[in-house]
Amino acid sequence: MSIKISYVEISEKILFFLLLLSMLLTKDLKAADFPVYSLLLLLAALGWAAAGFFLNKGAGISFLPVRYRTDLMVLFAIGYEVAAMIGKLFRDPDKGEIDFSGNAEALAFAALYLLISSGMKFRQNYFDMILYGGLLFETLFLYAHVTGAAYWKYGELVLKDAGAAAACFLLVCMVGVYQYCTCKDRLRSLFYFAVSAVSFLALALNRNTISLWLMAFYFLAVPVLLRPTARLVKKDMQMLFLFGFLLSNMSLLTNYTGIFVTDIAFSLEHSVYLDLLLASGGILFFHYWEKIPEGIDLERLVMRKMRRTYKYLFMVGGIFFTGIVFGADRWTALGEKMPDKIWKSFALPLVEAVKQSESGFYACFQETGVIAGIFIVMFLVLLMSRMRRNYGMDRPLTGGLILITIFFMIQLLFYRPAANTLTVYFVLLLFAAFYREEKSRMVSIRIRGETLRRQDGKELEGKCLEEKGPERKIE
Amino acid sequence: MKKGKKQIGKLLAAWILSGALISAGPYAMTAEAAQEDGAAQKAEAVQEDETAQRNEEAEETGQRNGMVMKAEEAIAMKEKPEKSAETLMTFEKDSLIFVTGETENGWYYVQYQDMEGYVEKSGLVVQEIDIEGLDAEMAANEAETKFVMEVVEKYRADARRSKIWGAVIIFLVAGIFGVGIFSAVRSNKNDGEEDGGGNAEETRKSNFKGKGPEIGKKDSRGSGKHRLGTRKNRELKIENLD
Repeated sequence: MSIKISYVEISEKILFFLLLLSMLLTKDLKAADFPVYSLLLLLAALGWAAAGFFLNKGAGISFLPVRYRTDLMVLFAIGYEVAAMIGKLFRDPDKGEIDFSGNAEALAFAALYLLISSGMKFRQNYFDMILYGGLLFETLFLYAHVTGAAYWKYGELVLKDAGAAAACFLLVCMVGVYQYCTCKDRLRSLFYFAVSAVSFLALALNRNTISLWLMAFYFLAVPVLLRPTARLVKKDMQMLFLFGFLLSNMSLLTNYTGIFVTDIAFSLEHSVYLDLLLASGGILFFHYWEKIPEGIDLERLVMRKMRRTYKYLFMVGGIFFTGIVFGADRWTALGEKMPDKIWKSFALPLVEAVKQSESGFYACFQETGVIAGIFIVMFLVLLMSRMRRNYGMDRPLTGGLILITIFFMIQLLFYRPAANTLTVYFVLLLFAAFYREEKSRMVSIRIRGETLRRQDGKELEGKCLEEKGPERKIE
Repeated sequence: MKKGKKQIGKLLAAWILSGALISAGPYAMTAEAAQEDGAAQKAEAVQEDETAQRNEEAEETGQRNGMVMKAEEAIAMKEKPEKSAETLMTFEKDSLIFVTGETENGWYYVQYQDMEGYVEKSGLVVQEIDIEGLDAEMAANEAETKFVMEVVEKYRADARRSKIWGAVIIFLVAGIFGVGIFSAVRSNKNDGEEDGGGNAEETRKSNFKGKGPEIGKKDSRGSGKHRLGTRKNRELKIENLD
């Protein structure tokens, strides 16, 4: 038993180190032409595997169990990568330099998969590590924009293109919003709120339109995938308002104040449209919100009807998004009437951003080859099906992980994350697929027709009141 | 006796007269010299006054009225408008000299850097200068200098503002970090206290917070399975929401 505890401690510490390393090591350092990040990642993963092998040996647990279809795929990938590395060693040196960094990263990912899928527990502190590391990086980014200092070289691994930077900032935004929505401690919520605000500012300054659209969709997806308690919905809307408010005031910050030294300009027209959208959305939301009777514990009130609305908005928004992307330059042929101009002002920047960015899937096919690319896609699809089975409304942490992972997958269609951001996303993806969270049991008192009787005898529709009973484990 | 007295009287008068004349002579010469000196001093004083006045005017207006003349040959600048005066410096041939005045005895009053002196008129000729062109060039130079100064001031102001905002950002982020670390430590402490103490029963009771649904006999629409009842019944009828 003591061996198991020490292995768990070592695993947690290595994972903390990995997450911090991924968020902080953003400079493209090389040791003997080998990327330092890939080397450290491989060493950490192999060290973790060695700890698992030696410390768990006595407990009778086999190191390489084949439990799922994805295990077989990973073992095959390990064999392939090792063979590829050996093959490169015997390659003709006249053909150029041999680059093992890709192989090292693949092996590290495979090791991470085997270790995390063997029943590792996810702790909410891992999200905090991502936030601390991300906050430091974003501070550097903002400082460079405000002072004009050449700090870009310290973040060149991530800032090499707007897409890679967007993936990093989006990760911190999503984790920050999730933590804020689910946190119960007031002071801690303030911390998450502040981190999210800084992340939104960095995301806006990065000026990647796709990431801004995805972030807006994320707010709609939170009450859909997580249990839509009134408290969660309220906090989610607070974050949405903060995001919208910041975005609509970027034109003021960049065009009329001298805060940012770098040459960035936001359209005032967009700000006005965004403000109108926020105002109209706010009116509709508060019109419904005022129906909630006073004195009710928001944590125990589940907004099912609102969830349906969010689901509908998410689907409609998704169709618009897809339509704009597929429409491409044809949107320029729209007329000059006011609604046409408003639509074009939102559609054309998105089309431009999609044209300029390089898809992560394309990059995967380009670097690994078509067969390896198909293999990776199949692996991801299998992981997604595992995620689907692991999902449950009574598993809030898993729900959050799945939410972030889904948006990671969507991002891959439009841009490729940097190696360090990809590692963090991959770790979250593995936990989303394999982490067995204890269900938070709820005692439901479902009133027929989903109505609630108030003390004065009047009925309210669309709500189901639940009481949280004693938590029991599923056997 | 009378004749002797008269002679003595004459002699005395002559002696007195001659003495007076003799003493008056140098006195008269000194007076003349003094007059001459006085006149020269006056002239110098007048010149100094004029110079002082000119300097005052120049200091007030920042400009000296005069003209630029060219030296036809090497010519000396004297301290006074005299050939015998001390030479302050020598201008080379074709030097441009700024003339601010002239004297009556054929000398020009000139200024060069911090020095002022006199130069013979015969050695200088009028330099033909395109005044309008010079004025325009000076105006252009002034405008350019003003523009450069404005740009430099703007850069300085931007740099100052950037430093201030940079400091604000660092301060805010440090505050956020502090709040995060403090709240993490505090929540760890609270979790430790909850694990160490507390009654399971108390924990279970504390889960039932806020208002619950109306428990009563009025609900006649519910099925037997979902009937509202006592707390004991509620615990028995556990349902999964999803």
